[in-house]
Amino acid sequence: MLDDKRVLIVGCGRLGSQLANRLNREGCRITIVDKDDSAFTALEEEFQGIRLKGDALDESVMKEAHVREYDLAIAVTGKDDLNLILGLVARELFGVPRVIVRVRDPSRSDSLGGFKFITVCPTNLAADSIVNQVESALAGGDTRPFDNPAK
Amino acid sequence: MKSLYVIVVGCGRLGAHLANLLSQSGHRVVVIDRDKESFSNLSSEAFSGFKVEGDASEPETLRQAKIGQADLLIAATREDNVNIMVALVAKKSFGVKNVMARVYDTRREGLYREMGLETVSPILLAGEEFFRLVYKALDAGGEK
Repeated sequence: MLDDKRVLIVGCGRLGSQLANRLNREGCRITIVDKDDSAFTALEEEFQGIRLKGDALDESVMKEAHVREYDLAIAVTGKDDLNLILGLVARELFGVPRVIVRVRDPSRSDSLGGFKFITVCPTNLAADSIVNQVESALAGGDTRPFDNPAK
Repeated sequence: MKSLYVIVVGCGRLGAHLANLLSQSGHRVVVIDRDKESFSNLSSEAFSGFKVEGDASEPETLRQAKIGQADLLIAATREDNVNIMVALVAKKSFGVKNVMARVYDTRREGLYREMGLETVSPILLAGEEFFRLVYKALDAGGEK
């Protein structure tokens, strides 16, 4: 169980809000940051966490976010560079022990070993899923149907 | 392994990555994109397929890509509606047996499925992967 685990999520887009809602249901204590107020409408009514509006790299926002310590930080803004910086800030300045960042660019996702982040690359996941479907269909000697394991 | 004739629509990050992977594993790949510049995303080592510059929502562009021979079409532009439309045209008008469409808006996935389209949602996949990693990181207490 994830009861009372403290999680910082930066970015409340499709991915961030999906994670926030799900982890909230799992009992995590969440702080979610987005520079756009309207992004928070994607959060469920049951969402009990803290919503912080602003640039996560802004000092005042950081101070507000830092009222808690975190077990985990997740950086899922739309920008790869920003996610990496946020990941570093969370780890180096906030001392968050575990950091997961989204990296959209597959070529970059392969070259981030030095950061020692856990990375998720949606592009790679989607490509792998499609290639797997093609290959398993071919292995079965049939080109259809390609069952979709994604859902 | 049998080699497939695959049309990839959209040569952005996902489209190009797929085209590289599929071409590398021996499939015949044609990539379509409106913007010639996007072909620079293809790897000169991995990709040995063809490139067609044009708008895939126009049937003429699909014909140019020899859609009549295609075993599979993957619509991977950044626009859900374009992907769905191209996938539907490929299936209904050109009789392509297998079509897949990337969708961002997961609320509509069910609808697309009813129309016989396979959909792939990077966001859903990423959500699952994140959740798995969060569990691993927090529950087991260790990183990686």
